[in-house]
Amino acid sequence: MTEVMIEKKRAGLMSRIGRTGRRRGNTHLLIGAVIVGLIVLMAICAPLLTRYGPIDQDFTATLQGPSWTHLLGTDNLGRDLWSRILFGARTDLFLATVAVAAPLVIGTAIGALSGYFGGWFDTIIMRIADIVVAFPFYVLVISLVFIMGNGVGSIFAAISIVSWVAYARIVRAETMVLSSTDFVDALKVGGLGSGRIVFRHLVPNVVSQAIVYAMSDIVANIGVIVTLSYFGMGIVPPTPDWGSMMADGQPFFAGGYYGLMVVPAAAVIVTSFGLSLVGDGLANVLRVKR
Amino acid sequence: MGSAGMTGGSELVAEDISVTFATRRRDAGHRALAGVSLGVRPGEIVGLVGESGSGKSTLGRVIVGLQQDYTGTLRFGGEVLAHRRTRAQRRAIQMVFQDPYASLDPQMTVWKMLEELLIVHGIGENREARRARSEELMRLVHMPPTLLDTRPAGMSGGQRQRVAIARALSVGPQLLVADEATSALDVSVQAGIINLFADLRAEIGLSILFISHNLAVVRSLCDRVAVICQGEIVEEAETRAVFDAPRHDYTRQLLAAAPDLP
Amino acid sequence: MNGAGMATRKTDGPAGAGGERASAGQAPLLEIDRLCVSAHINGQDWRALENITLRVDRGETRGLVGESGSGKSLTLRAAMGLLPGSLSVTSGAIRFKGRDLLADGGKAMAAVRGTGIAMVFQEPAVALNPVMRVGRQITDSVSARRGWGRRQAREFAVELMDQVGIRDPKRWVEAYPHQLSGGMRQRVMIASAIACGPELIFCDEPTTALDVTVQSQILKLFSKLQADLHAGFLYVTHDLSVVAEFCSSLSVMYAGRIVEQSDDLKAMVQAPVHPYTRALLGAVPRIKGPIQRLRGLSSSAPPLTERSQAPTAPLAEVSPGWQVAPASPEEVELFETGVQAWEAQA
Repeated sequence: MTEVMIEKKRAGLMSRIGRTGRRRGNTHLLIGAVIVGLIVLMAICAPLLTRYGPIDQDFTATLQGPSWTHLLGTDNLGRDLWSRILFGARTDLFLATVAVAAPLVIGTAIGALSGYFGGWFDTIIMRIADIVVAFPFYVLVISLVFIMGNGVGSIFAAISIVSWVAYARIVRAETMVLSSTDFVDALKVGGLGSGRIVFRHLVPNVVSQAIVYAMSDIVANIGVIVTLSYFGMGIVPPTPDWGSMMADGQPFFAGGYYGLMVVPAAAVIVTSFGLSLVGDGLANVLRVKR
Repeated sequence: MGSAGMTGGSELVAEDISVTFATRRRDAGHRALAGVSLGVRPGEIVGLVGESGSGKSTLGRVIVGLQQDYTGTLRFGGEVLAHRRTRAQRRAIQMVFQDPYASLDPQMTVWKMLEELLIVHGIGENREARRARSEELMRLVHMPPTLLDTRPAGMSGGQRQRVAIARALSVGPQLLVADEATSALDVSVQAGIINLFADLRAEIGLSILFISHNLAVVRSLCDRVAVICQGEIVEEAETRAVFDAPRHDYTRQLLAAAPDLP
Repeated sequence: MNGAGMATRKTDGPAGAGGERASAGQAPLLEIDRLCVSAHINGQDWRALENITLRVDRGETRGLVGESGSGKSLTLRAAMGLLPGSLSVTSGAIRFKGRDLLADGGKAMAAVRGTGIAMVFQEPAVALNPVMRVGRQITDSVSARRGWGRRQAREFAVELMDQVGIRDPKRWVEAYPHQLSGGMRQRVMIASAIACGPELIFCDEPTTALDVTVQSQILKLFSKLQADLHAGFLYVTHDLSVVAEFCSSLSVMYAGRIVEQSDDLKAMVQAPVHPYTRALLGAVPRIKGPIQRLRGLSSSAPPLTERSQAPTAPLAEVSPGWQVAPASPEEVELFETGVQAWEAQA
């Protein structure tokens, strides 16, 4: 009977706290957005930022250090590292982002329906989710690679099969909380159909959590793509990609050519850092809404 | 068509309504309502008073069709309400909830909220007609139509509850079930909403089932009062009779416990 | 060892020194003196509490009533030294038995919290530790301070539970909070509040979450404890009827200040002077008497940032122990008509 009074009291006291949280969120978001924005811009404008193609080999200039002709030096095949990093960003970021989109949409839809309807539907969905998660991820990927062959398709399929579960769980939990309030009952009494209630009213209110998670999921996907490529199961050479760059550079690491591994690793770290900041910032900004 | 298109004139009769909630441990389950009968005549405001767990909200949910698992008969305007209702039957009985913070979609403007319902129920032939009707609804709940284009997020509790009432009225109900609709509001804001309910009855002949734990509020608004305790209505009479000469022990107990100003 | 809360306090007293007790005899138990609290929002200071002046004497039960945004809970939090970080006391004093609790950086406050002053919260379900048995919870702070063993603490807990009206306390002393009903939980919280033998008890909406019959029992318990302990009560609530039931004096707050207060609650409720008090009382539905159309008031107080920042005039005495804040013509208009700007446009 007094939840609202408590709520209001809390809102009064918390309004300022919320505001500082929001402000800090905004700073995080801003810094993160600048980092990610720069990287994306560099990836998009890659051909304008380098004179070399990412797969152009120059056997007269292999394993060079940084210089004005080759900003970050060259690899063992004389390919320009700077150029490969830029074009690698295209591959990895694009794939990581696309691989987030499908699970985000599918997971959100399944989670919202599962949380809204509950009952046997929910039970079945959640058991499927448990099974998917219980299955070792890399075993799944390797089997898919055997079936579908190396490359983008397998990575995309493997990530999609597994990562919808996280979105479904997040959205389901939020939906169940929201469904237990008067919110959904009010819509039902108004005579709205289930589809409209779920997709027009529930999803917009719960999707922010999923979007925040998606930011960290992009980071995780980059990790997966890079790891798979590193082990030769992901991006097929000569397509530039940060993971295969690291794998290619590894034999020369002991010879003192640290840049071949460090540069792509640094690219992964900076990108992940930027995306994490964006996710963190979004979480703070989207939190205080009601 | 009245000022907001209500026709009025249907009587709600609930007969021998029972609801049992399944519990995991006990086979019998928890009996929330045990053969309750209650009527709301056209243009009447009936109070349903009880403590938490008395079953008062469950009865409200049965009447609006949210609780479909029940035994007994519901009649509205002589017609039996099946467990799955027709669209017209759903429109006829609407509900206002306790928490105006939870029951409104914070992301939608008031206009979008009202428009959606009007479209779903095929009310108003075009956008202009729906807009005009929405403005009329706002005036009906004593809100400036200019607030149509704002979101509930920035509104006070009282304003939100008025929006919730406008939304309930948008589909032209004859009976409004108000479940603790003023309990979460400040005393002075509560008084405004109580007055609004009284005005709506006077202006458009709305019948109201007013569910509350607060005896004083019920007394100030209702024509008739039913006291519910552990799933049974123990006393039902004109408001004056219940408060001045309660017949059941439980009612007397409630009245003795209720605090009052000197 | 004599363990009962009330008896303990009367014999040795938590404040200890005899000299202080003697001097404290004259000073009021709690005195909030021109307390101002400001909130720091977006780099600007806004007045959240404005010249709050009130006192609670021994054996007095003062109700502090207001609607949301009135600052009643804030006043209580300030008096307990529990202001959130964004709020700070800018001027004024809070004196407990003549001793300024704000003076030495909150040390004095910490010393009386839980010994001289106790608090009962609104939500016992939240305020109690769910994984601790209620008996231990009641005596936790006391037995730590007095170096009691398990058995001694348990006996004391049973005694206190009996005192707050829990039937068969021996059965419940080992229970966990979730096994208790709402009313019993509130009794447990009251028991832990009186365990230290407080002289002043703060109540923050302690019956708001309870059913009316349970509420009435808890109010009766408060009355009994008030007689037993002869403690002072500051009872914060939004519910005027509840305050009228339990309290002897009343302070009404609106928008961060006290608009009217009286040592005689009954007189004030029957003939309120300030237009806001009149409007508020006119909005309260009654159990007895003629049924009238209620006075629907505007709405709750405006948010902090939309309040007038002009200094407020001090309260004027209408009769001994009864003070009223002056009301501006706009306020009179607002409260008399009870119409808010947004309603007027409709």
